[in-house]
Amino acid sequence: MNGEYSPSEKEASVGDRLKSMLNWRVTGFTVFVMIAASIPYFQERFLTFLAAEILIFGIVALGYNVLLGYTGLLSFGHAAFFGGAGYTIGLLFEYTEIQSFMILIGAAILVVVLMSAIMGFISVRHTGVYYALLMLALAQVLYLVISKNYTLTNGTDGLRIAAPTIFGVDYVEQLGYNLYLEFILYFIVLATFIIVVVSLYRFMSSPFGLTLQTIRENPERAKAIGIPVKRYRWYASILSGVTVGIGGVMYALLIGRVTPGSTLNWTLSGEIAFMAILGGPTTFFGPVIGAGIFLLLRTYILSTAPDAWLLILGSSLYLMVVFFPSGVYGALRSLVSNIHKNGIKDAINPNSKSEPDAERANAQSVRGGDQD
Amino acid sequence: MSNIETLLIDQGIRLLNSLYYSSIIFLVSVGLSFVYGYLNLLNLAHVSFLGLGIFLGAELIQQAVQLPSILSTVGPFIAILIGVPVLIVGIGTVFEFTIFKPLYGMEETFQLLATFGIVLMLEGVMNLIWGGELLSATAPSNILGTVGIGTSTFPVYVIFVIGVTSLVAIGLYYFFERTRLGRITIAMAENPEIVKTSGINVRRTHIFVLLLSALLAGLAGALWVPNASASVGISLDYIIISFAVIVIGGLGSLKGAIVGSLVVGVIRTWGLVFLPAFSLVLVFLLMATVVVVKPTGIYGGLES
Amino acid sequence: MVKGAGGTTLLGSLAGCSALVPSNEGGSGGGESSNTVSGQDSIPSEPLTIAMVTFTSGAASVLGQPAANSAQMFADQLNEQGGVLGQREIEIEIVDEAGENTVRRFRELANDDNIDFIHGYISSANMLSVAPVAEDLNQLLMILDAGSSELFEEEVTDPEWVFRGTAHAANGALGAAQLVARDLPEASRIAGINPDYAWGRSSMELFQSALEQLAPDVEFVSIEWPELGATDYGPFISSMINSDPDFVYTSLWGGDLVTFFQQALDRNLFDGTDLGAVCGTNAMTAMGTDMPEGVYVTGRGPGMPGILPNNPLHTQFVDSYQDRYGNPPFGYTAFEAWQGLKLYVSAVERAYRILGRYPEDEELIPVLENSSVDGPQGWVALAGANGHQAIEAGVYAQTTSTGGEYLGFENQSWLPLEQVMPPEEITTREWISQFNSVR
Repeated sequence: MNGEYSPSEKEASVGDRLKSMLNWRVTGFTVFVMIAASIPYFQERFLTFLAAEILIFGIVALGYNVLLGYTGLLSFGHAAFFGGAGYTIGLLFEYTEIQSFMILIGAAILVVVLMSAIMGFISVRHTGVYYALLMLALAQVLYLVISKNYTLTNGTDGLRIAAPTIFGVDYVEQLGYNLYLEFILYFIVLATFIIVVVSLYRFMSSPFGLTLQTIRENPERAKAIGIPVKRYRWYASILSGVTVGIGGVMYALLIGRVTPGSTLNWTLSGEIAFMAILGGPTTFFGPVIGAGIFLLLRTYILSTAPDAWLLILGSSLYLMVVFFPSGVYGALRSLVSNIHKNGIKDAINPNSKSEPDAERANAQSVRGGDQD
Repeated sequence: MSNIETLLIDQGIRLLNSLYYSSIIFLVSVGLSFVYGYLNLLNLAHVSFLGLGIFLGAELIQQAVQLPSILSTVGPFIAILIGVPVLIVGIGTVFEFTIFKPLYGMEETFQLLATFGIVLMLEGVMNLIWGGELLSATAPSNILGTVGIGTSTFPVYVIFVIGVTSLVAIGLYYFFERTRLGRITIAMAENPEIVKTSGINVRRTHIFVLLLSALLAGLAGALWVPNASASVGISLDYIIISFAVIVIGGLGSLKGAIVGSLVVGVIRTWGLVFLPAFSLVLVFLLMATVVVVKPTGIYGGLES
Repeated sequence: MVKGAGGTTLLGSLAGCSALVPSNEGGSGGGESSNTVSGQDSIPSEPLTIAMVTFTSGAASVLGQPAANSAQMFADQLNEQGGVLGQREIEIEIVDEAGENTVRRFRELANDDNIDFIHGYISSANMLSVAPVAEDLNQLLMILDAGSSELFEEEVTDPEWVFRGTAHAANGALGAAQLVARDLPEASRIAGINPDYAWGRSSMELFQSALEQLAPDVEFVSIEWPELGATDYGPFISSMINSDPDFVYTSLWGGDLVTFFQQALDRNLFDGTDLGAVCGTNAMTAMGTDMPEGVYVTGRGPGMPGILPNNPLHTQFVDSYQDRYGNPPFGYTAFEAWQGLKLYVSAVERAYRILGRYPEDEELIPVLENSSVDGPQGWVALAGANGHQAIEAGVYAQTTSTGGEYLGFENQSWLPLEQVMPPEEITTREWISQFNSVR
């Protein structure tokens, strides 16, 4: 390799690398799912609970990253979708006789679609700071409406979420609460996780996802080549909101109670952003890793030195943003592909934009980089 | 007493309550507005100076009351008006050269996230130091006593706070409109290149703006604490309210901060009377409306 | 595997439990082999760990810290005599109740095999969240202080694992209503200021409905709902003053109450207006002689230092607490912590004598139900809610200067059980609707 290359050589190497990367991804994910599926069998109630939470916030962080990593929009208002979905279920339980899981989650998704469509429509006219503040203000409206109307919503005390019937079966009656939680609900969460990951992956690898990235990197250029920027951002908002809302439904069912403080608080949006950043907003799966690290860290610290949690959370977020914006997973991936690439480094023109290489793009701009 | 008199007195007291609330949020928001408008940093951690002002204020006041004779009456006020601002300026300098430094020039959204990290960090530190207690520092309020209004009384201290804040606002106005340094600061935000070439020390002006902003937020905290009790978590509540104020008033504008805090104070106080469940909701709806309709706010002209 | 059948874990039944040592495994209760060990050998050697969940940070720590202090004092005093059954020492693990993740934290504690017993919760909101979880997870839980009457009347109507070692909101609220109706016949304009959440709502509702029955001539002129943790009561106080009330009822507590009192004194709320503060004693340590005088306060029953001068348990407790911590136990959670722990320890000791060996958690339930103890607060019996709810007589007193560092009490007004706690089988609301006017 002396600096020259022919197109066919280049295509073959890219194609081979892509193929091996794809396989690597599928196997990796399968292993992940298998490990997750085995957790309940360890009979450690606490572990199962934690694993379920990781899966749930994995969903949430993935959804959040559709806007942050792919579209380049930082929202401080996503708690509205997370809590909005949970409260839909809570209010249905409180005021109606509905108990069916499918109806409950369907209603919640409907509500969140509406919310994200409306909130998204208003806010995608802006970017950057104004977008963040607008989402914050709108989410705060929801928070206040819920917490200040005690007679309707039980205010800051929150609503109890009972166990729903799954396709007509009341598993709590059949198996007792513990087994319902550890097996039935857990596997529902896992199944939802798999569905969300696979669907989202296909969405984001499709032209839709690539368009979003184009918009993020250079909105002017995107507009110039005819992309309806605001419309795509709006679509992304809805997709993001719904995904986060699905996570919110699972969370409500797992914890059994929704309160404004735990599901609608604006600082929750910040924590979700942190999970995405921690894992790596420039990658697809990074946010799930981020959610996992975040929850493991929090569980550990809260049981050993609970007073230090805020300090550790804040400083980790700060350090990540300043020094490691591509996140843990992102950094690992670039490390791995660096090793891979060393041999053929000379062959690639570093200025060529046609290479879908996240690592190289990372080197250019800390937040840029193509997703895969 | 006639009905008219009663009505006037009632509304008068409400107005005082409203101005008190507006005073505190003005002092917090104006710095936030300056830092964003002139330094291009949307600093969520700005309210940490409020928190520090609260706790340092409580500590200093508690020390000051133990001083002998007349010092125990004057001391607490010196603590609030001088002691805390001096400490905050010192702390602000340290922060400027350590944690804020890497943030200037960073992309906006990442600045927001980083400052979010900072505010949590500082909340954590304050929790570790002062978390387990309820700090009460009511001496200044007790010293000033109460004044009779109609059949009830009203704490003079509240009026004192309103007075101090008004003086600060006037002082700031005079500074930015009339003095050279003030006008330079404004020019610096609008056109950094010209300022640089004319030989004025941009770096120094930059630090000055930051420290002034921090000082005002710290002063807000110190003024606040004699009327309530200090405990952890208060600053986080003020983040979003101050954002509402500066968005409504206009990012980077002193007049905007004044008008914004007055508007928010009025909505909140009278909202509590007529629509208690929705008083703050109205504030945030207004904030959202402003962003949609005129993002630069009522007086904002500075588009970053 | 079915709820209530002893809570044996799958592991216990699948793996065959011969290997399990009969130590206390939280609520999971495995260890059938303990049946074969009896007497002194069955008493576990590792300490009995009790998780005490209370507010140790923030404004609420005014009420939370006394509980932690008292629990530690109880443990030390008991351990001096060898511990439970004279042999097993107890350890208190303090868990901070503050924060938004109450339920998750509770689950962690419940699933922690090292923790034998959970005693805690001051916030009614937290209590109502964790109580159903305790029932679901078969975790023995003694509520420390949280007062909303909804616990056993609405949330957990058939309790098994959840107990409350202190009287609930009715005690204070109905006590205040009786006080106003009988002792303050001139009071007709009534105001209320309460925190806008379960406790405040519950307390005010009971007070209002009871007073309307007992004294139908009263008029409620101003009802304020500041949020829990509010720092500026100015506007609310102004509104109340404008409505010219004769009596103000408040269930504000902890640091909030301190702030409220300070601001109310500034605005002269107390001039011409009586105040009944259900949690009034919370503020007495923090405020010292700044505490307003003449306020009607209660200790959720006789949990007020000096209120039972002829009861040696009371005076001993107050004196030890004062010696150890520098101030009298004004926070009634100090009394409640003692009570709850004593109920539990007594149950363990009694179960041991009955069974001849150290009891499992589910075996404690029938022993705890309907049990009673004699303590610093007098006689407390778990006679409500099928043996899960403590009942206590009510007492109100007025704060007064003693010439010392803190205020004291005068003009005690005692209210018998029958006037403040509903009888079995009827909810507090239903009971109130049957009250007759006393004016």
